[in-house]
Amino acid sequence: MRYETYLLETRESMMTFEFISKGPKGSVKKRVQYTKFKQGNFYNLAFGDVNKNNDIDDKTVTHNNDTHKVLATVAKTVYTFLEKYPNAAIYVKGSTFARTRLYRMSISNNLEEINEQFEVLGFLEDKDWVVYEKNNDYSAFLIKLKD
Amino acid sequence: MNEITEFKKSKRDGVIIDNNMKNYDDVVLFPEKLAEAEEMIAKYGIPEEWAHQLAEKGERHHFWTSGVLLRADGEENTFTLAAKTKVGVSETSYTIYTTAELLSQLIKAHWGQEVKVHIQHTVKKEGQWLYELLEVRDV
Repeated sequence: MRYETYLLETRESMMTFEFISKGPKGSVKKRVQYTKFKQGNFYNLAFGDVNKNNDIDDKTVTHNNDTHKVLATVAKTVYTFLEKYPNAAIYVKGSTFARTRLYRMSISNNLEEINEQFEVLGFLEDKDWVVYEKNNDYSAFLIKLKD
Repeated sequence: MNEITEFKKSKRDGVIIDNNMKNYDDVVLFPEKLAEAEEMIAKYGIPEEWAHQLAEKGERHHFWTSGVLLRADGEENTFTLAAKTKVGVSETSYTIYTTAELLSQLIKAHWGQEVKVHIQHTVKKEGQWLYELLEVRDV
């Protein structure tokens, strides 16, 4: 990856990753957690700040001026998770419209690199899951390793 | 002292494994979002090649799209699926990976169709897959 990332900590199962964002707001603990669907080999990606109750708050905006580094670190968990679970597909949807848009921009800006190793589907609202292409208004994403 | 292993290869550079880290593996986060996601996949389906690849490599599961069941195989292990679809009652041979009870529930949930599913027998293939041969008939 061409972006700098934070050091990730995880258990052997690699279902949860934690890292520390550092910037003007200080050190902020972040967590990425994968949750398996009841059916199928799909996993939901949840991501956010760790709040005082030690839960993920997926709506907080940290303002730590490190968005690219944080997103690259989350992307690194995707690489690592799929390396551990190569048969899985990861479902990604932002907690807000703005966050989904941020994910969409991030995928679009790095699509060539992503497509080297992954296949990505985007969900067109009330239509279908389709192969991800730039400039479409997807509301959710599915990612898996290329065969 | 915690036993910490730092991976220094491939994509795991910068990833520390610490099994003393709190275990959230069984915590189901954002169940509403999860249910919505499952519904999006169940209702709209995913491209057949995705279903095929995930099904071949992964656990037993099934995919629905446009009112029919995906991952049709039908080479050796076939069963008859009769399900109410958008255009009527479809009766086709498929191989699927699920349980009879779950399939009955899914058909009822998706199409409001009461069906009985019978497992005829199971086949182990390549040491890992249980191919369940089912017969589905309208009640």
